[in-house]
Amino acid sequence: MKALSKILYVEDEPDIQTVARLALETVGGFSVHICSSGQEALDTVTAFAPDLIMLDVMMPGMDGPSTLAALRELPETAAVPVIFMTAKVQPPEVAHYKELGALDVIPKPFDPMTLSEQVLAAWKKIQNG
Amino acid sequence: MADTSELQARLRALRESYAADLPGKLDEIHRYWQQLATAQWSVELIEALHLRIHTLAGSGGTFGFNRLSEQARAVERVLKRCIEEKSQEFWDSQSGCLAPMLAALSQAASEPVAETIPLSSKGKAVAAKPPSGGRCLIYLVEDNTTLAESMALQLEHFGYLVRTFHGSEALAQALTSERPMAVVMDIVLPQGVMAGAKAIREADAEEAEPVPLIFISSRNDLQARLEAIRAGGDAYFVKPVDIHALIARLDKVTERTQPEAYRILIVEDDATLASHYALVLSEAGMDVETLTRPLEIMESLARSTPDLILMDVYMPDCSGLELAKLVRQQDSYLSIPIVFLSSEDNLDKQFRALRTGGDDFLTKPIADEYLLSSVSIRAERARLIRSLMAQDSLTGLLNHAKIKEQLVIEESRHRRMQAAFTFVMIDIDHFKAVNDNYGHMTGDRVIKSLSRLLQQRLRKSDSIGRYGGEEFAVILADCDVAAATRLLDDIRTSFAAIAHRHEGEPFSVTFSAGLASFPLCDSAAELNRVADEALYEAKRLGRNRVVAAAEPRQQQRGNRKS
Repeated sequence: MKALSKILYVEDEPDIQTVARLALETVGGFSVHICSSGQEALDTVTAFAPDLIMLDVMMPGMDGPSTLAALRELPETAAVPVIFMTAKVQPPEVAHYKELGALDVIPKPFDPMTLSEQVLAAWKKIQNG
Repeated sequence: MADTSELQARLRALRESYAADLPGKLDEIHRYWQQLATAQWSVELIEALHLRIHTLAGSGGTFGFNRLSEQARAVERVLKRCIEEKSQEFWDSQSGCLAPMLAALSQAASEPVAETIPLSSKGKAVAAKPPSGGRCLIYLVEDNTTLAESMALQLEHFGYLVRTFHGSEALAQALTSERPMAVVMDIVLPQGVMAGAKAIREADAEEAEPVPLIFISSRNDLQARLEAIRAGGDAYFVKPVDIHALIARLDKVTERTQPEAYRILIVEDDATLASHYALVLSEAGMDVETLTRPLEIMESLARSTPDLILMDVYMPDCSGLELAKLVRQQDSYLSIPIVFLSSEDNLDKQFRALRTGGDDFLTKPIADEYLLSSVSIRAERARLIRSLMAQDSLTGLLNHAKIKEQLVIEESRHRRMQAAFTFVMIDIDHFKAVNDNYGHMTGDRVIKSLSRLLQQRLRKSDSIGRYGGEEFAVILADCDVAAATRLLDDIRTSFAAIAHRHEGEPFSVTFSAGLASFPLCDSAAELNRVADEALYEAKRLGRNRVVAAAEPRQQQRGNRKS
């Protein structure tokens, strides 16, 4: 199974950025690069070459789904799995996000102690078989 | 992995920093709120307010402010409707109930919750944060060591952390040092019948909330069950224990499947009264919508089904009784409890009201506590009943719970017969677009038409269920994967050819399907997982196709995380 090591995290709220970094780097041991906007993510993603991208859904400017669509246009990131972070986690809403191409949806507010586990569980889903 | 105490210290520092910023954020929200009450009202202002509330909702819980997130979520829902309606008049009708909700928001911002203290409210039960990095601790008390081992293994497979006891001695002591989320206990232990239960209840006497107790027993008679109730048991399973049912119950008592807040619809033309009731209920964690114009009820119901409707009887446009009859005309709303609120204390008139389809009659003026209890109890039972009803109300097919049950039944049946069967997950493509473009009523008709097609094409021995939303599950008994694929592909083409209509205009819809078969997959859980993955693959490959899992996926047994 390919190991998950580099995560690109896209979130505009500074508070959440800090706690997400703590949750993913310190608890999960991942290497994390944080972007404050969809545009910033597009500008830096190729250089960072993440294994996985986590996108906040509601951001000013480019929202999560628009950022995903743009990422899918770039050849380097067309196949990188994406997880959405959002409060909308009713089954139809999750299905909708998956239809857009997301691997999974993690609910906000998230628990910093278990965020890494949730991410790893989603990662394993695509690695099996 | 870093040292936990250092980590906790850093998290605490972040929480404190977040808490310090909160007053400023709330001030800003308050400023928007005040502006909206003046001539500067605009939809853009509401959107700006909505954005800030949304941010609070999405971050509060991460920093220990669970109630803040919940309250913000509730406010967010009202604001979204105001944005949709775009009218100042509508805003004014909602501002009565928004004001107390915003006040509650400010209050929630001053009450952070530390990790281990459980929040408890009647509107929504929230358990203590489970320890051990997210895994729930269960005590298993069973003197039959083989059974204990096998049960522990299965429980751990579902993500629980199990500590096994073979008798009641060590139990009381263990309970005081490390509190489990639930205890599963055999009624008969070497120390005597109900010995374990007594030990637990004694150790537990000091606690505010008793630890949930689930009994297992080989006895199924009334006396045994009665004793179990008297000993404070929350559930009773007869051996051999159905592990799936046990897990479902454990999930419920440990609140792992976080229940949604009860959704309450209040229909009351007196805006002050309406906002008072709304405040009482939303403070308890419920999600409340108020209608001061009763004729809007059908629209509101179509948008989202409440768990309970609280309805005033005497209203200008339309009496509560007529409204209740209107609601009950529709089959899908038959099961929603309707509680009347009125100053009517004449018993005859009350009965007449109940005959129109109401479930309860509360007389005004009503004490807050009594209103809250009546509503909670009814909403809770209604939810339970709906989940247990075998049929999905829209389609008449098996509901989610029943089809999952059926899968387990078919698995053991086919194992005995040594025959193959196939499990299929079907998902309508782009269903959200159908709802968005044509509305939910047309969406429902599309769902009904697929369910009718499935019923026509499949045999009596097959099971069809509505898994949820636009997802269906089918169990094709005594059918190998090749035959199943041919059959589903045929149904797929037929469904794609149907001309659905919206206001005379025809449109077509397709579905994707994933298949998994037994004995290639050898458990219900695996069938479920593999079919789901095949469905995902079908979507990924472009939709409107059927994908059969070719070979069993290897499960990583040695790598158990929660």
